[in-house]
Amino acid sequence: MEVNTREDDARLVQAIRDGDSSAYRGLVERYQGRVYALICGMVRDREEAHDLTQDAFIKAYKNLDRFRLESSFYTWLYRIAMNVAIDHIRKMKKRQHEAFDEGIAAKGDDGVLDPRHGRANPGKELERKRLSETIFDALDHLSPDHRQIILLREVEGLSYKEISDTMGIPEGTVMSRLFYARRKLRDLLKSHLPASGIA
Amino acid sequence: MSQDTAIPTRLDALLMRVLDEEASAEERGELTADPTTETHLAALRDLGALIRDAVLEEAAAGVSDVAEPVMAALGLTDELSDAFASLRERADAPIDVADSVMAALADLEAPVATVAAAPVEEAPSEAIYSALHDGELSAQERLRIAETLVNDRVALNALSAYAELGRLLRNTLKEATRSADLDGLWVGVARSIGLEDPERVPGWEPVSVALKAAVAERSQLTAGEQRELADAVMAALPAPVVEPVELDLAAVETAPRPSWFRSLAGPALAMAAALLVVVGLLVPDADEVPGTATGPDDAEVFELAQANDAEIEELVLGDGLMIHVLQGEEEGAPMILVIEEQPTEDVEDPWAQIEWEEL
Repeated sequence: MEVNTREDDARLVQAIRDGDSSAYRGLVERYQGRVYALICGMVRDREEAHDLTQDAFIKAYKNLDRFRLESSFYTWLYRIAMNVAIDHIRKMKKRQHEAFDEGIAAKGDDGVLDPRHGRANPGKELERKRLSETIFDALDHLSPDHRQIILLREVEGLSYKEISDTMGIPEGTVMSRLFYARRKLRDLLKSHLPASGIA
Repeated sequence: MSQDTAIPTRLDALLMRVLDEEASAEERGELTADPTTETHLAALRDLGALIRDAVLEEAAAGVSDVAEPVMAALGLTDELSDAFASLRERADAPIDVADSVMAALADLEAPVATVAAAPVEEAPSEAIYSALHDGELSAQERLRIAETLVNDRVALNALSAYAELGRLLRNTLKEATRSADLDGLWVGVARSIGLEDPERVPGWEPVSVALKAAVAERSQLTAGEQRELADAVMAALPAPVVEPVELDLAAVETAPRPSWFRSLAGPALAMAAALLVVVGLLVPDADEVPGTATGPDDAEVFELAQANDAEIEELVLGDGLMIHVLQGEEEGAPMILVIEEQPTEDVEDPWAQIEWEEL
């Protein structure tokens, strides 16, 4: 299945290179959901995530001649998407500080995110919505590196080797960075998780 | 990065001064006399290669933010945020990125030669459970842990928490994606990459468009000549298959009237009445009509046109479309509809196109 997808991606890329730009639609519609999910995890704001997803696809298209056909298109794409998200985070640094301050306000005395945070809108009273907000709050408190690595592992399901190749870090660093990212998330989401053992 | 690898040495400082072309003759002499200089220089050369590879790889991928991958390739992490920020600022400027990287590194207090080794971030012993959860341990390591895991409540709790964390993250993002409206994303991308019609799919245009394009490409015809050519092509094409069928009106049972009949019944019957008058005027001599009935007991037979077994399911009355309705006077007589797409001004013409044996 994966081989077929990769071959199909390569055919579409070749068609685009041969002048049929509309073939790019196949790639966009195949991967837009996955790219959006990754970027959404990085920047949280849905509208920004939508725009950045679009930017990532545009950027990928403009650099398509640099893509090596024997590689995985999606691997190449999510590296671009992650960089687009990180660029955006950097540019919005000031806003992020404000969000961070707000996030601190959402914490209780024990440093754990208040599950009621994000309930300002009465329309979001549902438990699922609250939990979603709390998860996004927690992601906001991770550094971009930690956010990226845990998304690549938990959402994309990449192996340590693949994460290592994607982020350009040794596999040992992947292991330790993932551990620290998880530990921080556990601390932030303590009330939603099974009893903690390792701090 | 361990503490002992972060201590700058005199040799590192001398090397950097030489690289910056700021070393004095004495300092150069000191470097030459040091037996470990060559090792350090080799490490610096490796560092240069690392930087080049990182920059070139990212440039090839069209990624503007080269700072992070470069820093990652060097094994530097967030604790060097000042250098990180410096790299980012410089990477945005249209200058030689490699020079910027080297300049930023020169500002670091850490020795370059030891950084080149790209040390792995040390993981605490508890990280083994995180790796176990990810299925990233060797069979031997898994066996070793399995022996103690059963009685290790802390580790079991950690594993449960990792599993739950992953589930929460996946569900949250899946839900966010599900509720996102991504339908218009392609349109935005298409317009940005210069596609005028995002919905256009090559190969799916009507044949007429392809014919027109082919003709236009191969000839320089005027508009009039193009019309003549189109007419000639259409004239040369075989006519649609229309096979005459015989309809025995006596055998036709009256079908339940469909819903559209109600909307058409009023005007249709009025038209039918008018047309029957016209027919009466048009058929003064039954002998001139082909298929004239030979006796009162003969079945009434109409020769109708039927094409491709098409059935009328819906009628639309609009510009350029006229529906003629014909129905016998007796109760329950079948109704005949004649649909004309391009009615002429002459009321008599439509009827002239109908062949009947007997009315």
